[in-house]
Amino acid sequence: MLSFFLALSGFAQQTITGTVTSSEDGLPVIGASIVVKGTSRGVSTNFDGAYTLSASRGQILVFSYVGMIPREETVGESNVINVTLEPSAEQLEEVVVTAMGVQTEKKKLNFAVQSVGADALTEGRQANFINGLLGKVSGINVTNSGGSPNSGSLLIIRGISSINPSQSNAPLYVLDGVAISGGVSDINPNDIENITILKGAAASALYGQSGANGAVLITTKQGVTGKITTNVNVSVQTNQPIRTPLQQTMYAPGALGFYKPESSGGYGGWGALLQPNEPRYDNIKNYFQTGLYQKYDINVSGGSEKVKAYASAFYSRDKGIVVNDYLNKVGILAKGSYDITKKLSVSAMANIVNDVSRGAGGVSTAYTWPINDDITNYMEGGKVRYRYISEKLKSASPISPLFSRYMDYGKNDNLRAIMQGAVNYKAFKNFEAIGRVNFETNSYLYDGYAVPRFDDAVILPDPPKADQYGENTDAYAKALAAYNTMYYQSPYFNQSDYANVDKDILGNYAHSNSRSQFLTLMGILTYKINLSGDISLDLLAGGEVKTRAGISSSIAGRDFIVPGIYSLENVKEIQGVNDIGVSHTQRRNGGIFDQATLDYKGIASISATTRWDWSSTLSQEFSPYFYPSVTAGVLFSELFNIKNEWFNYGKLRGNWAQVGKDTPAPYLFDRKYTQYPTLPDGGYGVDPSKSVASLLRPEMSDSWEIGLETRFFNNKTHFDLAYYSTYVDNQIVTVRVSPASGYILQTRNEGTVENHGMEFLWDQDILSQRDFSWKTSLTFGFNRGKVVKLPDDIIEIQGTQYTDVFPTAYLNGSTTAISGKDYLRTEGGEVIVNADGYPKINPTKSVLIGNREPDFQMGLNNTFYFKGLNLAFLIDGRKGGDIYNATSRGMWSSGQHKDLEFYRGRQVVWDGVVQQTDGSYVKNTTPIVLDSKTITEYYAGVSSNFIEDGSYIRLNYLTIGYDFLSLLKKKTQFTSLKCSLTASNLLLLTKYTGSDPQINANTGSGGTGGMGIDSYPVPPTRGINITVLATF
Amino acid sequence: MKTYNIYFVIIFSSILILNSCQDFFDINTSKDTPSEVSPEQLLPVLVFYSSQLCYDHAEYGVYLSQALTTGGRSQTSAYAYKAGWELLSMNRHPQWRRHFYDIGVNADALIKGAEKIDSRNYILIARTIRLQSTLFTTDAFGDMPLTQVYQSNSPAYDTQETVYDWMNKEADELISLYENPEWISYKNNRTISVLQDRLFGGDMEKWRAYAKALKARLLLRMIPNWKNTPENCQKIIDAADAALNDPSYTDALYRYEGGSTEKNCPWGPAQPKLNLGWAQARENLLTDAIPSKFFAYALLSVYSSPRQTIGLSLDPRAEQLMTPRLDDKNVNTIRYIENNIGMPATMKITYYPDLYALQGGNPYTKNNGYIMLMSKEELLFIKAEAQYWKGDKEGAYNSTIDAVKINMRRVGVKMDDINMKPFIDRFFSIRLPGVASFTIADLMQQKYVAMYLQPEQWTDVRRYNYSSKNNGIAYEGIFVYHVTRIHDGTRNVNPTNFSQEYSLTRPFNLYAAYWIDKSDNFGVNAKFSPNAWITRLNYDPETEDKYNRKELERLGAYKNPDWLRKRMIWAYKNNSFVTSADPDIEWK
Repeated sequence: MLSFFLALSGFAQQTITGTVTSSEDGLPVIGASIVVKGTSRGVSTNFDGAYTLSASRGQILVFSYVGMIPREETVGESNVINVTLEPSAEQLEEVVVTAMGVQTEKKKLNFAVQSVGADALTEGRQANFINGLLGKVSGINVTNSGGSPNSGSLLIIRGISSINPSQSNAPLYVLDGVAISGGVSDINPNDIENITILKGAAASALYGQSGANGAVLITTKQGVTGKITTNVNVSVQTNQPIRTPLQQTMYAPGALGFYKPESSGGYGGWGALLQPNEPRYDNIKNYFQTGLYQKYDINVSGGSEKVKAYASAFYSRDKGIVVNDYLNKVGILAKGSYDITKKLSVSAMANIVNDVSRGAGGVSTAYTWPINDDITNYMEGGKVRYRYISEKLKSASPISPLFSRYMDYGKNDNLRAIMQGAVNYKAFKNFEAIGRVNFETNSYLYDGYAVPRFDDAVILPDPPKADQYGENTDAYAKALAAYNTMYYQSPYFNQSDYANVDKDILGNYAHSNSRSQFLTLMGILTYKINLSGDISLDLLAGGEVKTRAGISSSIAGRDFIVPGIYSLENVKEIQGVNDIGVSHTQRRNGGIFDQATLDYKGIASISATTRWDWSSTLSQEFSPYFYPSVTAGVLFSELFNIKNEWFNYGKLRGNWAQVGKDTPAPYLFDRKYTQYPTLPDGGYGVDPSKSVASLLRPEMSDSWEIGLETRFFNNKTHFDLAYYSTYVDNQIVTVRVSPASGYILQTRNEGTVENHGMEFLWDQDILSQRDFSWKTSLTFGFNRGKVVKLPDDIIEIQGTQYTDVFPTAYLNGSTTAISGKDYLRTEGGEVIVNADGYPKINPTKSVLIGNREPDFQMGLNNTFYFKGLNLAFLIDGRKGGDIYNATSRGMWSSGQHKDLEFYRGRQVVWDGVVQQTDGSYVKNTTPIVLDSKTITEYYAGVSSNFIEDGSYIRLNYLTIGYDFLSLLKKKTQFTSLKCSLTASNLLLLTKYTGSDPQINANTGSGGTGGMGIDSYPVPPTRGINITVLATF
Repeated sequence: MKTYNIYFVIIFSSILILNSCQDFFDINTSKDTPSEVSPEQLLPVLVFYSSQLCYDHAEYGVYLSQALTTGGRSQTSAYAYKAGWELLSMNRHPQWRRHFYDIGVNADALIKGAEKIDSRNYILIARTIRLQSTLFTTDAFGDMPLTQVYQSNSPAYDTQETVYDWMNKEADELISLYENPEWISYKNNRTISVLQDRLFGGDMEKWRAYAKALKARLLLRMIPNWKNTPENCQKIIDAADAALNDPSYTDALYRYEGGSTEKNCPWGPAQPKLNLGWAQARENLLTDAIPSKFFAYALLSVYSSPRQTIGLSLDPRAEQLMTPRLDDKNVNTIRYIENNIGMPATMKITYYPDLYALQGGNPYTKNNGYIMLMSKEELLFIKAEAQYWKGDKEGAYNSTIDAVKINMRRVGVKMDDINMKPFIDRFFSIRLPGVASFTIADLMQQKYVAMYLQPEQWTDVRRYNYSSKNNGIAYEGIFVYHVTRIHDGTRNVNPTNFSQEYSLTRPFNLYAAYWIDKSDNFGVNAKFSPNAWITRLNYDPETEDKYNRKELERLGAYKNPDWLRKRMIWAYKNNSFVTSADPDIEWK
């Protein structure tokens, strides 16, 4: 890579100076490139549009700037060359990268595509760029799992298409034209030039099954001909926890109003009232700290006519708001291209990122920690402090969660390397052959231990025996009580304890390693034929092969022998296959595809694709499988010539597409046996945890879309509207079936879901003057997902369980519904109350109690520029979308919720109706007392009480930046010196009482997902960020 | 034209290459997981599951038959069946899957594997375990898939009669095969060691006796309601005798050695929870359990003021089954509570007896204890019950005495200790004084105690329809679970001091609408209703509600609380022995 940059240097014969201005407004063009043609020598204009360059007489200078028509000037006698650049037509016609990395004018595309540029993407200073898409792209749903640096983010485009929890709904991520595996949180947002979202199946039909959920095309930055540009970026951000749950401040731990520190495991607040002089601790506040995020970036880019190169390196440290929750990253990206001949060019890219993290762990213990006990006091005399010693199991003895945060150790170390290469050969006019290879390797290592909670070195004597005391029961009682005092209040074991105890509490160590490799080989041929002057035919054909292979190993052990040596070499117990494992996976996919596009003068086009896919995970009977797509579009403004002063552009487009999907996992067709080493005589038996399939067809989605694009008022106003409908049949789901079928888990084709929705985008250039501009952009979208059909008599396909609640895909209901317990209700929805005043609880589980799908989502983005000062803010919001607030429920059932200060012990009349003997209902008037039993059983025990509306409006971020270059001396190396201050998560207007309505308990992309489930996440944070960017 | 040719050549050659490379995609077999294993490997797992099945049924049964109750109350946990008498909204019941999958599928694989190597002894053992499992399963659930099992995802349910017909036939066939040398001494039979077969070490003669005992247990269901005729009683007596008199008869005991996790007896203090790939079992929560008033006060007749000279209870087994502990008044006693009223807030669970009986001798609640698949005392009780209904009261009495003595010895009562003699004599003189006063109540109450922590306990109680003074159901005018001769709480233990009575009472539920709202003659006092007792488990809600809903609806079992009260076929009124005080009783 270094040689690329060295190749750019040269020497001068004559010094040429001048300025570059824009023909549009006469203003200087800052950062325009001037290159001596045929060499690698070049410079950029400074803040005044001026440049200085060495060149020989007769040499040609090439002046260029993004969005302007390049101009060439020959060096003559004069040493001054001033140039005015004209805006290029391409500036008006947005060019986007589409499927297979083909660049196309947006107006020629007949499906929904939306791009986000580098500035907009990084404006909010999000560490994970997925969060930066929120509010800027319509028709997407972005959720995250909380305020930890290790929280995940999930992007879903146009709703859930697969309801199987192990089938992914995540879009395909394509990096510089080639699909990569898994997520993109490793990619440095500052390396991204542009993100293009292909929303519908038609857009991604060529990518095959991986693109069935849409595709996110990431284009990284690349060198620009003629100049070497260096960017240095330093970013520092503090994060404060916000919206932490409010806790009651009146009651001690216990049960039924009695002070019993050991009741309910010693947590919660169901005990007696605390006296005014007793201490109270704000344990929730004290559990968290201020987070600090730092990021240091440098990138260098440059290029000559033949060689272009870009290289970057970054380092970031993200200290979370939970003690020892961190994520540190270091990464490099290097890419370059070389035009070997006019016909042949090659390019290569390598991106290597190393993440090291620990994770925040659970916060539920902190929320239920008794208010009369100081959570920060986790050590006592150099050892763990127990709140008490459990009489039954010592492992249940509560210790402050901060003990684990400070004393235990865990490290996730992930190394990801993506290497790409491409060859482009233009064999003859209009014919191009492209070959691409992507090789990706992920190495993951976990290493961690928990220090011992108990010391097993001391063995207590046998307890006193009753028969030794004869009839003197008092003496015996005293002896036993004394023994118990010693036994239960000292953290020591006797032999019987040792035999029975879970040895993990004597310290444990775990170590695991995994490695996965992902290889894609792809070949594409394109050919353009001019059938007549007005009609052209673009052909594309290609094939790809993908292989994935993984191996993972793990080992664990427990009970450290030598105190203080926390090593796997120092454990007493390692249990056979339970503690040691090595597993392998492998799968292969292949596909051939083609596309033909017929275009009439650029104002009407029709395009068709076909694709055959092979998959190693399907029964060979159904592999390969075929699916086509058709798109069509017409620029009616051109065709009917209806352009005028206020109406500039109008296009109508439509498409229909099918996309198939294979299984989420390999090896589904065999009965699987597993070893049971923990049984008294060992042996092998069928493995109930492994699913078995008999016959599987590919999941097939059928979709259509219609869209309208219009521009008004000199192209200052853009409206984009799209309506889509998707129908996904043969859902591949893994379900727990009747064991009378001979299986526990079966993977089957069952069920149909459909999505339809609308997306709207409004871009408005409100003001555009010499010193001041204001642009605004509004996105709006909604999706309606519905489960149309499930086989047999199944009413739902559930996701991960949270208490007794399931995120679920519910028959004839939403694909993102919630099921759980509810009261018995009248047809009108009123709660039926017993004659004694207590509500009746519906004995049926899995009652439909919520829908997590928002009615609509929107974003409003505003940017202002004023003389080097820029200001931007994003408001995002949504209406509807239920949330299951499991955190609040836990606070209620543990007696810690703030509202218990008001309700506990109060006499109330339950809002409901009582059935009369004649079947009619009358309003309930019988009061009941809200004691702990009533609250836990009749209120906290009913999940529907914790379904809340997730509507919100948020000031997502506000950023203000200034380019200090104008304040510096004019002769400076810098071309830009920007400083920005960004505040994130500034204001949230919502009725939702939990952490954040954008919450997702589990950002896995499988099935119905965990969005809208608030289950003890790390609280959201408010950040203040300062970023300095110097360009020279 | 040339360019078109190139285009099509490339396309078609790609198709050709990919088609010819079908093998390239044929990699869908895991290299880590076997898809077939040998009978030697399968048998230890299957035998283990046969023990676990017994535990699963007994773990529910000991609460449903009301021998134990819980200190706390909850209707939402995985233990709601005992802590709140809530069955319908639970996620899973382990027994259903244990039979059809853990036992059924492994037994099928074992039989196929044994056929492959032509080793017939494996086949017999697998079929015997499957028979035992089928009996427990139908007795808990009633109708169940049999003829269509494993043939589809929603097999039709066979009636309980059909299942019983099949079991009777299977038992007879097994017994005859066990007597056929072409099966048990077959030349290709592989040697089965104790490492594979912890029950009988591959001894086919012991398995034969066990099959005979299973047949006796199977036939017992005919009495007292279903087919209670003298001929059938004699069949039961013959079957019990066939097992008892088999020279190879040995109790079927699955012995645990203790150690880690599943190596401990499931009733032991290590509380192992079976978690073989899928958490399904319930760990024994004897740490949170409390003896019921019916069991401790009435049947064991614990004394309120124990002294060394009189002991803790009339029944000497009490101290072997549970170890007394100091209560809140520092008195070493066996405390108890009524079912599901919940422990008072000021009490600690440690004021109630230690149900692991660390100082007691019972072999069940130890980490190195055993699960009893069949015992001699059970066979004697089977015989006694048949003798009773056949009219041979004396025979019944003697069989009962024998059974009680064997049981006492098993649980650790020192029968030969001279110091114990007064306690043992007092027990027999009060509880089983002689043939003249001997009734079916005495017999079944003694069997109840002997079947503590055994699946048969709940089955027996249901066979007698929870007969008690409270629900008014009587057998030949006798309330079977109505205990007379309970100690009066004084300091004396003369026969006259055993003057109290107590009858089994159905517990209240906390809020379950489907219990209390039943509009029968008893209204909110449903606990006295003969109709309001749980007589079966609902089908596994997680799978059967979803995948076999039509069958459940056909049966009337879909999310239907009344289904839980529907009697087993062997509990229907089919003769005049049983009567009810309530004329509206729904016998079916």
